[in-house]
Amino acid sequence: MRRFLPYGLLLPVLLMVGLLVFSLLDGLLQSLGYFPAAGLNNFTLSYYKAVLGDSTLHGSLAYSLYLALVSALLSTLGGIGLSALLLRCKKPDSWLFRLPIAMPHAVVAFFAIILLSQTGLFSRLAAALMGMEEPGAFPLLVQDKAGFGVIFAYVFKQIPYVMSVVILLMRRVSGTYTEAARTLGASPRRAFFSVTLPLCMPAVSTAFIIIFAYAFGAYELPFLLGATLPRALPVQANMEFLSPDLRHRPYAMVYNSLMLLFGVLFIALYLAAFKKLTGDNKAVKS
Amino acid sequence: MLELRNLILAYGKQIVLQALDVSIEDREFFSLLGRSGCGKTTLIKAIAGLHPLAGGSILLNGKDTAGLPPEKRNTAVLFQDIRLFPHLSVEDNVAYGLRMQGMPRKERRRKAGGMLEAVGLSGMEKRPVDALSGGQQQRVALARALILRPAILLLDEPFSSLDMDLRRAMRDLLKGLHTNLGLTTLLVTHDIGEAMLLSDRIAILDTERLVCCDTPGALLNKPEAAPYLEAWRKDLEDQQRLL
Amino acid sequence: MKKLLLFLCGLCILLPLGMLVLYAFAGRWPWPALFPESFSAARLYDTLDGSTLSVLLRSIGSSFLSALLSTLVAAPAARAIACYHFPGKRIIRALLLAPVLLPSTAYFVGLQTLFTRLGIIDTTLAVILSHAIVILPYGVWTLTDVMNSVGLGLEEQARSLGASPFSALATVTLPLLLPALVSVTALGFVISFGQYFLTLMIGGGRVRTFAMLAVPYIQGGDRQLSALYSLIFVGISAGIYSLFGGIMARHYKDAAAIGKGAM
Repeated sequence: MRRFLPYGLLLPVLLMVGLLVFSLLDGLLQSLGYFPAAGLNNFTLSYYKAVLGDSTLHGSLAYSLYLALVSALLSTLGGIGLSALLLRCKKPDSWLFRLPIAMPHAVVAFFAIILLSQTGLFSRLAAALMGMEEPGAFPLLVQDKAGFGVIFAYVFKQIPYVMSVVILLMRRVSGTYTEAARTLGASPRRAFFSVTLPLCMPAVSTAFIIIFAYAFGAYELPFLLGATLPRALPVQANMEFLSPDLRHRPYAMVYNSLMLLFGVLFIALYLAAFKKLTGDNKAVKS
Repeated sequence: MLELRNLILAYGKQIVLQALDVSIEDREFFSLLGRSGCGKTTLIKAIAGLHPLAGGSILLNGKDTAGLPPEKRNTAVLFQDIRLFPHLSVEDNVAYGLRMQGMPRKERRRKAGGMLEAVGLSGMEKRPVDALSGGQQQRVALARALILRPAILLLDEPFSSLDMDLRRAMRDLLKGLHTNLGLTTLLVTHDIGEAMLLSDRIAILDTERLVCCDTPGALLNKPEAAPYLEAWRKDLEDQQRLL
Repeated sequence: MKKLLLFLCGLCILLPLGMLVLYAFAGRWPWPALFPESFSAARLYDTLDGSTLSVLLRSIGSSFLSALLSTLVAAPAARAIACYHFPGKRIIRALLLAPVLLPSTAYFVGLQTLFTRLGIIDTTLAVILSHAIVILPYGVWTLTDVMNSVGLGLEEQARSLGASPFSALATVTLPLLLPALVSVTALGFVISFGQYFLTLMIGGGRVRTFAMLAVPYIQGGDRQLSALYSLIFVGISAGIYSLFGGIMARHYKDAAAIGKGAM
């Protein structure tokens, strides 16, 4: 009986997540062409072939990967940097820097608009300093092809997240191991890069995977701030989904299945990184 | 040669060491004896440059170390909690100080190998540090410190977590290396027996102050030292009776 | 130098917030003026009318329920993962990561289909349930770490003093976990409160949360209304987070758990 206790404890959570996983089956079936409600009863790979060959998909996929990669990289660097800066502060008074974690995405999108748009703050500052004649003279930073606004919004939320993951570990490592490194001839800078940072890397890499996965698959920010072409993958997928023609549904489900494939990849990467994290942490003394 | 002149150390708002005057000669094995928490670790840190002085000065080979950062002092520390870098292998741990000096990889690994042999751990170069036992980790830490030929080796109660056999082995190893490499060593401990066996001279500290400082033989006869040696003496008598 | 950099970073966060306040109460603010030409609180009163307030309150309530549900489910799961060895742990861990690492749009559609089948689509219940699913991983992560650091040692001690398993859990471990449970619930609230797309998919526009009110304004062009709604939106989220977020740091010295904030 006791052997089943952990499973019993896990039952509710497995039930809920199970709902999620179970619900994916329908979509999978639909992507393979099986959608009785629309009169489609034959399994076929034709929808996959069609979508995978479609340049719209290529564009969206590339755009989403680009947005995710750039924002995740910038956020990781920024989060590490911010943590390093805060390291020296006596009071871990990072409340302010953790605030963006609590801000809804839509509001952060609005921030991007009021700061970066052509009628935003930076545009007005530029006008005051450089004498621009009209808003249009300010470069397009929101809803632009480079995704500047989207990346800004992701980074705004993600740097604080990375920082919150890293800072405590950094503080812990920094006390003992940095002292040892200093007595062995390392300057504070070298001690940071050769000891502190490597010891934080496992935690950083798990954070990286999380923010990458999120930026890749989230809807709100690209929807509010992204360019109209190419659309980020989730936005494009949803557009396909909203098509009134039910027979178009399988196309949308192919999009979803592809995104899910990436999701599974992210899960695998995270598990691998997590294994390394718990492996190393055994050795890092408290 | 290490000179502590009128040294005052504080931990937070509390003074832990008051007007300490001690000189440690070259090649001397010097022990600082005192109860736990009486500022011994703070002293080690201060000499290493990791803790500020509240007063007085520390001179290493005649030069005042005031303002000198830890990495520029020619001291090496063996911490109580060992502190081997978990992300580096055994040999990279040992070679770390040489890497900071800019020595090329092949050469420093070669030297690390040699040092590991000296502490009895040859063959363990590539191992990860968490695969090592406590005693082995201590040896690696020792090798890591000694490879830099420091002007003075600082030991902060390094063997307190080891069992008796290991303790004995490490003591012998330490004394052997000290003699063979011509080191100057400062050992900080609360273990009287250890201090008596290893040291050329012992200083006894009690709540911030130096009580007395002399060779082990002389201390046995000094009345000021008697109360501190009392428990140890009684222990030895009890052990004698059992044996 | 470091202080300067930190100051600039702090500014990066305070600046948009400040702009938010300005926009919320700005009358006319044409380009390229750096400050509004006039101020007006008129629209504030319009915004805070009865229906908006009732949506807001119901939203707070439903998000709280989602968070509570999630915590109640996550806590035993965390205990199972932290304290027991059992086969299938890795698979279960992977499953628990799903809501966070799988692209949301991908599985929201699945949930929509599922709830339609169950006949609860477009209801508040479905929204609460779906939010709870999204929040789950954060709760499980954090509580697992806290459970790991708290450990079973004290419980074992209680047992050796005569406490039944349940007593030991309730009188020793639970009090130790309480700050984490509160904090995790607060975090869950914040995540749920900020959901827009999910609520749209599952609630179908029938279930109106505060996010459903705010986002269309942000999408539209009216800066002042967007700012007003954003201010309320952010105020509540950040307020709850600040109130309860600090609890973790105060009570748990151990590193891992505290860092697991949310997106």
